[in-house]
Amino acid sequence: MNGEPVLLEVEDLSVDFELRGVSINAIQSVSLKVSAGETVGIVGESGSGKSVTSLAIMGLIKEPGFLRSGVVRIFGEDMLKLSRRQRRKYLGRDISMIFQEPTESLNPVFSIAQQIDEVLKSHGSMNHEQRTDRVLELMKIVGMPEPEKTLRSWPHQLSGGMNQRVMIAMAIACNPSLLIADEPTTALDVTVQEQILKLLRRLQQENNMGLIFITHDLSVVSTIADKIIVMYAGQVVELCATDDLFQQALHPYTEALLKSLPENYSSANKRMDSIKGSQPAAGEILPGCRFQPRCNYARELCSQQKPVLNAIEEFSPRAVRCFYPLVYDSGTV
Amino acid sequence: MPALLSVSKISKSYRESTGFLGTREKEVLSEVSFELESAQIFAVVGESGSGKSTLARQVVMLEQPDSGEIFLHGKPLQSEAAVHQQIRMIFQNPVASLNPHKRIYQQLEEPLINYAGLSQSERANRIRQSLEHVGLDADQASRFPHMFSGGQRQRITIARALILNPEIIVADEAVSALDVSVQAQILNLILDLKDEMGMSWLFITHDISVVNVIADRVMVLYAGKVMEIGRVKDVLENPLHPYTRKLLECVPKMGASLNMDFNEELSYPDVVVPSTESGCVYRNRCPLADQICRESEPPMISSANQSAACFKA
Repeated sequence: MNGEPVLLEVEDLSVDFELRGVSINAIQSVSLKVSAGETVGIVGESGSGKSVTSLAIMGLIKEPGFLRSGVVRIFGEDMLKLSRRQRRKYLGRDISMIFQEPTESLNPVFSIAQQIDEVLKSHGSMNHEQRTDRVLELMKIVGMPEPEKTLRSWPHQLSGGMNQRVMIAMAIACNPSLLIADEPTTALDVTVQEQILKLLRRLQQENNMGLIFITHDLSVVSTIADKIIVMYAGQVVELCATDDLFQQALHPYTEALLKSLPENYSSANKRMDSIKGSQPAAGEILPGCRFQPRCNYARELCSQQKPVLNAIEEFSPRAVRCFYPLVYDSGTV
Repeated sequence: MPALLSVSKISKSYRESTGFLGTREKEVLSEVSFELESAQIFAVVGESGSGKSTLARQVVMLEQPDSGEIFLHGKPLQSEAAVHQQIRMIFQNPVASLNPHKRIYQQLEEPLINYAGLSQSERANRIRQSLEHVGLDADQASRFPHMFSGGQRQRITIARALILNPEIIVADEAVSALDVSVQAQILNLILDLKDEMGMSWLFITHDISVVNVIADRVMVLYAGKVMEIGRVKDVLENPLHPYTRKLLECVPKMGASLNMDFNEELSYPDVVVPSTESGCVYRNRCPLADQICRESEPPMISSANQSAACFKA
């Protein structure tokens, strides 16, 4: 968004995993930018590298994974040059994260109050009383019914939706400038999902927070994101403003993803449009485009050369990794 | 002619701990009835805690209902062994439902050894056919599960379900763990199997948007009770029950931004009403609920192709 300060800048981020002496590329040359108050959605199927991207941003890539290249700047500070100790000052305070499985992400042997308190203890300078007040306040912010009682309960006593709200309370405890949500609603029922999306949206607008929303679900991300990044097999294949994506997908993969949504099913053809085949296996190196074997529009060039992510000036911000982006083919724009 | 599968007023309760040494009965299914016709797909939709998986366990005879009866071709379900040949089940997570230490061939052969009494070459034939039906290469049968992708593994579990030529397959969230593009492939496969082999499916899902693609009839469950049941076209296009409408509303629509009202009180629907109280189980979440909904339980109100348990329908 124009005028808002840039919170996060990721440039040319590549992560490899080394298995049995062979390096396997997980993400290749991912770049993105998030400004205050902006929501960036990262969409991709399993194995597309969307979670690895978020872990790399947080500096949480562990052995056998390693960073091949890239810069991650938070408020202009190069995170990857900091020591572990220095980085921890930022994590959880300025930038925090929520995960897909709330019940598994919480510690089963601590009460809800203790777990939220822990975050405040490690980052703030609050005394015990102030922390207790803040914990209660957080429970009210995330809309927990009977906050006092819930604080004394343990994760196994709460439902998935309630645990996810506890995770959100922990994540926003120190008013982070940037929140990364990795599939935060995937394990939840639709009715709960709707409420969690609204909660995230509200918190974001009230605190002018930057939000990275990672999901495999294009329809969920379309309701909340300003900008969408589509990933396939470790690469960004398309980047654009949310509205543009649904007007016209440029990358054949994006188009195919849109078509395979149940809501785009028309009873006339009796079958869903699906993408033939499956993603290249980890470590499989193709000479050309990574989507080419599954692409309906592939031509000779696609199996010989690797396409690069090309910015398209007239529809900024928009970029596509394809030799024959759809829009130019059909000539609709 | 009796329906292929007819479930009549089945109820099931489990014991629930209420604290130190205390237990109480919790009813998770309450007088659920429906019929599955031959070569049809019947969808059961509900959120977590609605009793949909409990229903599946009763149908495949993993458990006995407390009351009510289940009929197959008009005859009550009796011997487990017979039921396990005629009704097969597939689960949500294909990774967890295949044995990682056994080759695909062995895993597909197991039901044949247990139930079919075929010779070795006949078994090999069946395995080949079954893999081909689900679009896999029969030469891959000697591989282990980890050598397949998630979508392929779900195809293998479907092949294993098909191998005894059952009449009904119960699929419990069979596409929920899959990516959308793979989900589309598996949904197409299920439709193909229905059309080509006349297979009937009891398709259990939390995702009402999938129902439109796949099912002929649908039943909406909430807190163990049937809220609405009918033809998919009628129920999805003209939902009578407020809960069905809510479910449809909450499905995120492509490109439609969230309907945000900053004064709106966010209310979380995860509190399930105890079924011991009188009145409609959905009343606490229902925007239309009034006096009568709190006092008495709504009856099933039926029209030609659709019924709903609601006073306001």
